[in-house]
Amino acid sequence: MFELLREKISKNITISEDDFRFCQTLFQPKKLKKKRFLLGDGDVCKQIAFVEKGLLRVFIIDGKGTEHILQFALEGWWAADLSSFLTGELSRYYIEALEDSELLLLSKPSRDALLEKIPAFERYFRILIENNLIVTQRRLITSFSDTAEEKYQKLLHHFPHILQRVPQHMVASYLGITRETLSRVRTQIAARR
Amino acid sequence: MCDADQCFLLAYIIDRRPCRYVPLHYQLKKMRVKETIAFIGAADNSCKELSNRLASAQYPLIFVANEGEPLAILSQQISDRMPQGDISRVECAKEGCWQADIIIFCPLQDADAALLQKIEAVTTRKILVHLSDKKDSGQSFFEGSKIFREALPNTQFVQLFPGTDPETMQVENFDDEAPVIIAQILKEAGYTILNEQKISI
Repeated sequence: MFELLREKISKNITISEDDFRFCQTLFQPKKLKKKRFLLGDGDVCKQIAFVEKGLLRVFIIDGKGTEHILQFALEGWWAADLSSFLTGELSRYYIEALEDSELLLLSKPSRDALLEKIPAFERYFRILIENNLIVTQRRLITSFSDTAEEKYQKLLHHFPHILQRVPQHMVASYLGITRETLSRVRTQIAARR
Repeated sequence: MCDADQCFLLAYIIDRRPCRYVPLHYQLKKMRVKETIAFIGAADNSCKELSNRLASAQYPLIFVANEGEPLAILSQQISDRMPQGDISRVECAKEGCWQADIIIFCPLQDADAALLQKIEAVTTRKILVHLSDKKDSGQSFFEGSKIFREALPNTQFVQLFPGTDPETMQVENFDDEAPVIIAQILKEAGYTILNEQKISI
């Protein structure tokens, strides 16, 4: 249940067996069936989720009722509304399981206890937030400056597994383009090959 | 006019109610994710009352029971009464507890050690509720909680004592956060909390 989490943590910090056992007592295991929600608009994001198995999507719904996917979370990734988690304000995010998923949830009090007992986790969470910032900035630049094909090619290059597990209309939503545009881009790429 | 606007207009004409201009399917989508609650144990009157009320308050419920067992029958009765409800039954206790956020043990005379051991790995940091069959919360709170707290030390334990009136419930615990969450859920399900001031919701 904790194998992947341990593997991911070990890439950034070194912790003892005892410390990891303590760490395990702070995470809440949660199995989330496909199409079930972890977070809804109007909730406070009380936990951050580590995906041990499965796939989540994080999205918002605008005033016209259109969904905008902000993030997919595959095995080994974290998903949360960090702003709501840290400030306690209401979230506008929805987090939904696209596949039957096994998650490890960490609440704010548990995270605080973890940081207090094992200071090395300060480094781990700093790296996580830095990586999140880098991805967010890249995504922002991409959304302003790249063409639909460039956006798709980048997704194809960086996260090829997502494309195999996610329906096309969600890929289009994630890229901020219409289904028709995505279909045209895919046809053009296929024709060139 | 987009689809969302048409949808809203239609709903407005049918309902004839003034409301904020928010497209209908956005309103429908806006939602709070409610805690998934698992039931384990016997299905006595308090358990029936509690599960029916929680189902009416639209909490997703999981009944851990084999076919033909009292909780399975109760699960079927609630599903029949509320086909739109989110009611499911699983036979494996570990699976049920893994999916749940809150686990309610309906009156258990002797907590099954093997069962508690089986669910230990998937109940960490979850709220464990023991629905007592005793009306008196006195000494039985400490006796009942001891078994669970020893077997599942990383859970948050809450014990419920049904009042003499079926709409009342007393909430006892050792933790700060868990009783507040449980009391709020119970209030949403229409219960009056007998010791509400003590919990400070």
